[in-house]
Amino acid sequence: MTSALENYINRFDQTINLILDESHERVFSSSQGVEQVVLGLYIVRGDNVAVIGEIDEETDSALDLGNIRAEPLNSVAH
Amino acid sequence: MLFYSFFKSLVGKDVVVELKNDLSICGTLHSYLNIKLTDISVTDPEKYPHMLSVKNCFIRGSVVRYVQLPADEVDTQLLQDAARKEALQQKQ
Repeated sequence: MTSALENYINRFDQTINLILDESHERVFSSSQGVEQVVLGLYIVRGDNVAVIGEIDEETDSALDLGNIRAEPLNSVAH
Repeated sequence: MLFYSFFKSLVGKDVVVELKNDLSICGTLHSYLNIKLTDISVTDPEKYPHMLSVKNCFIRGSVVRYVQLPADEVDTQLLQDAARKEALQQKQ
């Protein structure tokens, strides 16, 4: 299972600590489609952030999440 | 200091950033240290569909393993000389 937190970045600071509002997690799995888990207001410590991707609303709504299968993303090895 | 100026000359060029979690992202370099890329694509989209709806992204500097550069954009001789100079300056 791999996860990606999504939605609105309210605030951030120099070390990329984030405040995410209306966040939901997309859990990818190689055996079933993408599962979306609603999380609400989140504070994320910057150490744990790898990539912040800006979602293109158009492309995203055209995605069929139920059919996406993906291997877990590896964790970051320093 | 040297690599600030080095990356400055690469802004606007296409690079491939390989992360420490093995994900490779190709895109146009927008800024460095922490890396901003525009118009990105993942080098293996079948394996990594997680970024399908992302066009621009920010990559935290600490997770970068490599930045793969176009060979013709880099003057290795110049870079070597500059690095040598910088090393000498640092020693003093």
